[in-house]
Amino acid sequence: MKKAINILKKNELFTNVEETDLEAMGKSLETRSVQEGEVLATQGDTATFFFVLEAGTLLVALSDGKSAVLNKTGDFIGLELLSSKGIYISTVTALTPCEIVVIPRKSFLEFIQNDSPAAASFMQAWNSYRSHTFPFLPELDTPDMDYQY
Amino acid sequence: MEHLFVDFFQNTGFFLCDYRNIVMILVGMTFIYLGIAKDYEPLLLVPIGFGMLMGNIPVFHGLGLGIYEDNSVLHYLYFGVTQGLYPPLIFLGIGAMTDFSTLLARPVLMLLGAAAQAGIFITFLGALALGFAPNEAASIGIIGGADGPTAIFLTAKLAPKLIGPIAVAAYSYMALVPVIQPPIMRLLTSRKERLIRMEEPREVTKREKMLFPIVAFLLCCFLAPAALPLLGMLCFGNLLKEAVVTERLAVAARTSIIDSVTILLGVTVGASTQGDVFLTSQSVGIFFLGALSFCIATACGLLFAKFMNLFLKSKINPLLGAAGVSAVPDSARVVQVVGQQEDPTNFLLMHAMAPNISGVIGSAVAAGVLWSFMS
Amino acid sequence: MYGLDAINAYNGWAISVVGVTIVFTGLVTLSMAISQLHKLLDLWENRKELSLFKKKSPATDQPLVAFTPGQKESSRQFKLLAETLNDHFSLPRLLKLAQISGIDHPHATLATLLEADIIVSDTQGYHVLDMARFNTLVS
Repeated sequence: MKKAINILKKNELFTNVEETDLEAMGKSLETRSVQEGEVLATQGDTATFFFVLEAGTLLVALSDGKSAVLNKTGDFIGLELLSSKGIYISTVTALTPCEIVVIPRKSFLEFIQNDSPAAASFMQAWNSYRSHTFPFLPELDTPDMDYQY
Repeated sequence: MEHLFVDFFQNTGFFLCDYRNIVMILVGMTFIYLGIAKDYEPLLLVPIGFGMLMGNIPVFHGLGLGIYEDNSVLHYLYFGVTQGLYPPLIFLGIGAMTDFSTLLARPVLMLLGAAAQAGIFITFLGALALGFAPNEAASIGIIGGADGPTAIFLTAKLAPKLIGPIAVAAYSYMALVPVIQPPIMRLLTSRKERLIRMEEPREVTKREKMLFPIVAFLLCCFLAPAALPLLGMLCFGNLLKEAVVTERLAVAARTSIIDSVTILLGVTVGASTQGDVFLTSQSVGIFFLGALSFCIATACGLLFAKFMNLFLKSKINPLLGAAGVSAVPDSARVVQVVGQQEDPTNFLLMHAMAPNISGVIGSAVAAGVLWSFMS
Repeated sequence: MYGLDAINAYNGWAISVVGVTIVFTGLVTLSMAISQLHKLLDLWENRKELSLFKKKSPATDQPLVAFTPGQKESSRQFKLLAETLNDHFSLPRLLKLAQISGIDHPHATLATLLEADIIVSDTQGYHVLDMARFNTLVS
């Protein structure tokens, strides 16, 4: 888990996220090696994980034949790029052998629904990242948030 | 045997019931409905709503059941409200769950939290003009601080008999933040202003976050010592959170302690709204002035943000001013929602948290100031 | 007593003005203090301050993509497949065709073509084939 957290901390999206928040995302935060051609997520399946790329190239196939290629360390494959209402809306395939960090989707969503500046900062960074990297993605929904106290 | 039945019947709620109890039970059920079905501040409205049901069961006086009877269980629980014990404990929890980094990153936004407190003092004048005594007027004005614990604390100190209506008014308006604030925000800002994007805040170090509660506590409490119970606990809770080594205490403060106190505070404040005590013309006046106070506070924050923009190189989105009323974190979320209605890619939430949190500090200082003036 | 008489009698104006002033003074002082806090801490941690102004090292040059004979053959087959599709084609569709056609290491070949900027994104979710670059690097 420590290695996975170190990888996330290098990513600009996660820069302001406290290590305790990352740890809170779940003990199943882990690094995984995948082989060329391996499918990480299949469109229509129940969405259980988000992914952060450490090394390698991933193809994210969306509907209408659209796709995005991710090959930079720290590329984040999650939120509306990958899932909607608990279902994967894209298929993620490794084009080369990859090292990835696997984040449980549920605990990640819990983190961004916090009111902490870190979560807000993440959403701001993600919004900018997605509009820059995936300009063809549909508009971002405001995540539902629960009252704290 | 017959007289036993008659005696029993005369002690039932059906016999003792008064139309005012029915009205308050309906209000309580509305609170529960709003909390559960509409998700308006459920953690507050559900306990308060159920407390209203408890407080408005007509009981035979002398049996030690009503909240205003010395030997009743509810009275003992209500002690925490009347003596101002619960609000500082809630502030301890708030401190332990609040991240002050947005405030530290852009301290100038703190002024918006200060500006919104003008609503408290303007309403204070309005309440005086309507014939309320100064201590009552101060307690009514603090509703504009949109901070339930602060309102209860000050009222407990200055006008204990008004705790019921003031607490209910304060929490009702806090729950209605998403309804009350947006029209005022749209009225007082242009589309161009609502589209303003905020600069990315600088990164705040852990040490800064650790020092902040100590500096804030010392500065504010030296200036307004009467703010000590609230600000002291707020800053202490925050220090527990940021010190890392006291994480266990911070977790207790922001979970079990604040939750337990919220339950006790909510239920007893709700139970204090006994129809015969609560439904008076004075309560109507408090509700009216409370709404006014809330609207004025929102407007003051918005207008002050526009005023600041006259001097700032890097303009701030004036919507942030509305978050100065505290009501953490609902008013910050309203800023986010209204901002995103104009530009879905504009994220104002983290920026709005700065005036929002400074509003908490500001209303605690304002409460301390009013307390010291009135006592 | 009501109205302005009540406000005057209870010294309301003075309480309000002084109250607002104290709240403002408190928060302005606090805001000034915390705006300097990080500078004081930076001075305290002198080494950190120095590292703060260090310029970031320039980005490293892109690695040169070299095709092995096998990759060149697979790339040529990819090109033929891409030509059967629209100018702006779907990458998953191209990959599927490559798999069906039995091209060696379709995933890795596609990754190499992407890395070499022979296949590039049109920013709308589809991709195009850069023929000039293909001719330079593969042919």
